[in-house]
Amino acid sequence: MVGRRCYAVVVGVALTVLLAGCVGPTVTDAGYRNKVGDTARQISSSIASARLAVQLDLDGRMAFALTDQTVSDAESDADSAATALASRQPPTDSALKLYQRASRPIQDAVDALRALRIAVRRGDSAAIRAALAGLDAPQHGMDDLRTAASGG
Amino acid sequence: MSRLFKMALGVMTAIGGFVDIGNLVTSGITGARFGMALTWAIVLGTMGMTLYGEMAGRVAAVARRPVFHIVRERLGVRTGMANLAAFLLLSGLMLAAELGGVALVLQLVTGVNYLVWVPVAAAVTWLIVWRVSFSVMENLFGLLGLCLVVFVVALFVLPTDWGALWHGATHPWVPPDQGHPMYFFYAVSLFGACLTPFQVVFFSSGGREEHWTTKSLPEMRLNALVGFPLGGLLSIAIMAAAVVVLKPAGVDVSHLGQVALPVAQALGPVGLALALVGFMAAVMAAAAECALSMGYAVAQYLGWGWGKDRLPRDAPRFHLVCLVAVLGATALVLTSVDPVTVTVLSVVLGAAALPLTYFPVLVVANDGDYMGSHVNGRTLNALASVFLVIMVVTSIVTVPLLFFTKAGR
Amino acid sequence: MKADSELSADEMLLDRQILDVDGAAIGKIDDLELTEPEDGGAPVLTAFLCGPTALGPRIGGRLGLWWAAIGRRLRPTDEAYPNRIPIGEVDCVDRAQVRLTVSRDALDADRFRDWTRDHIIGRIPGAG
Repeated sequence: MVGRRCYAVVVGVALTVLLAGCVGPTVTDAGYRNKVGDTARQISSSIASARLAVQLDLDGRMAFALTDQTVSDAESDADSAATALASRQPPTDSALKLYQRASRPIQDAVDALRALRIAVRRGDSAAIRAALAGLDAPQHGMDDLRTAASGG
Repeated sequence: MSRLFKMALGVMTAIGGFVDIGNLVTSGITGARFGMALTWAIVLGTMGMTLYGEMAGRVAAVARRPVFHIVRERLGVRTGMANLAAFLLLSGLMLAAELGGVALVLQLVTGVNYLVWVPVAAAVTWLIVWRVSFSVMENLFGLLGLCLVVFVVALFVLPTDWGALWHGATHPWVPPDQGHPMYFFYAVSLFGACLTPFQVVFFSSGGREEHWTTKSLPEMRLNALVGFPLGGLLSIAIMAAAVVVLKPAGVDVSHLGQVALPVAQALGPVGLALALVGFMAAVMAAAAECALSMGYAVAQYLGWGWGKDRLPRDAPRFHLVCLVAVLGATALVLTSVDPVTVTVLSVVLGAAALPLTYFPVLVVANDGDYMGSHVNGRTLNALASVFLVIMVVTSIVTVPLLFFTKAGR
Repeated sequence: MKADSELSADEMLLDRQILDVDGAAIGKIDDLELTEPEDGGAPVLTAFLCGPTALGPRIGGRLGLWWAAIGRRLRPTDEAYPNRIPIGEVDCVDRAQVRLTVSRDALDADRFRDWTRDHIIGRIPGAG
């Protein structure tokens, strides 16, 4: 019976740790800033990934399926990151301000990736180049956001 | 002449057989995030695999029994059962990762969603287990897996700063933008990807399938001592390619396709095709080996007949286990859980169970009754013990790291 | 029966692989049957026990009970006694394995195997 109780305690502790890990970070202001920073990092990486794939494709070094896959993945990853951030409740006033500052650039990034995906699937070279150029501003936006979130 | 050819073949298959979805994914992720700083984890893992793989192969050749067969005898029914249960759980997860990997490669090639390919991957894997002869399986996949050498070629074509790569590898400091927990989590994942449990079971059971004897020791040693390290080198090449192309671009790897982008940049569509063929062969081979290992383990623990060198109806329970394993893993993948996540999770959990997997190998290789004069020498035991300590340390820190980093987010 | 002159059950017998006269794997020695002779004196080894009903109790715990239950389920009668291989059928014993004098067909140890072959594996095309 001691064994059973030990087991229950261990499971209880493990669950607490696990749940704390899931819930904890965004309850504080610093946690929320981290989350915004992480989201910006993820979206920035998605943009970079899509950009690399499309650039290689324009240089004739890719197979269409991989380009399409990479861009689609980038779009859906960015979208998921944006949704995950939006679903978190900003805990403080400054967190809310940060979110208001972040939401536009994030949405722009997701839109830009979507436009790129559409252009790639349609095979429209001019649209692809335009969409590629359209990634620049959102990329800078994400960089600014990362700086702001880390306390700049 | 044919003996030389056979040896070369063995080495080549060991190279191609060492790399699986775990190595592909973790090498790509860590290269893009940490540069070459985690090269030491691959080196360490490869050394461990070479050491223990040689032991397992020696047991198969000298004692004419694969390791798992003897585990129950030497460690007792209960310990053996714990070992078996852990092995089946881990390998089941790993099998799911490999099947997901095959489906992902097919998605990369065809553009059709990977979930459609999962049953195809499962069916082909099972067919290989069911009817394809052992030597055909080994040779075909081993050679096709060598296509991964395209990553090494890519490094020479790209504007690679070899000095910087070497500097990064020899100065394994944690990059400023990554935390220590994340660094060590991924170190564990690389280590675990080199020391996957099913590899040992497969290497020693495979040795029995190929009827190794004491005379086969040089051949076996060549496979282990040359093949595994060269496989490790391939993993490092994949990591380095990510460092040269993905890291400067700021790309974080979270999908299998991204790992192949450096090859596309270097060698264009042809290189890309070779990389994908290499991915496919390595992962498909690993899936079949993993399923077979689960069958081997159960059959060897319970004393059933086993082996691919006989008709399925002569080893029905062994084939039943393999079939159930493939079906179970397929069900897991079809829940549309992210295959990359399953891969990282499976290598990390494998790392948590390393002592349980490898300690029996050490025990059996030291057993005078079975090994006779080929028992472990003192230096070998010292080295193996050092690695065992590393494995114990790894297994202790793994689960906390897993929770702390939320599986590497 | 030829054997080393003195064996410790744990070291030499338990968990050893049993091979029939043709070298086919039958199973492992999951347990030993010892019979007390009528005239008193030390118990005598009369048979090897093989199969899930013999192994279950040695695994112990709930898993062991479950394993033994599977073994019982696979029998036509509900007899709980495990498959026995009488000592008379044993040819030789060494540290690695046990060799029998009879072929597996003469034993009754293959019910699970036959069932699997007939109902599942044998039905799949290519089983041979």
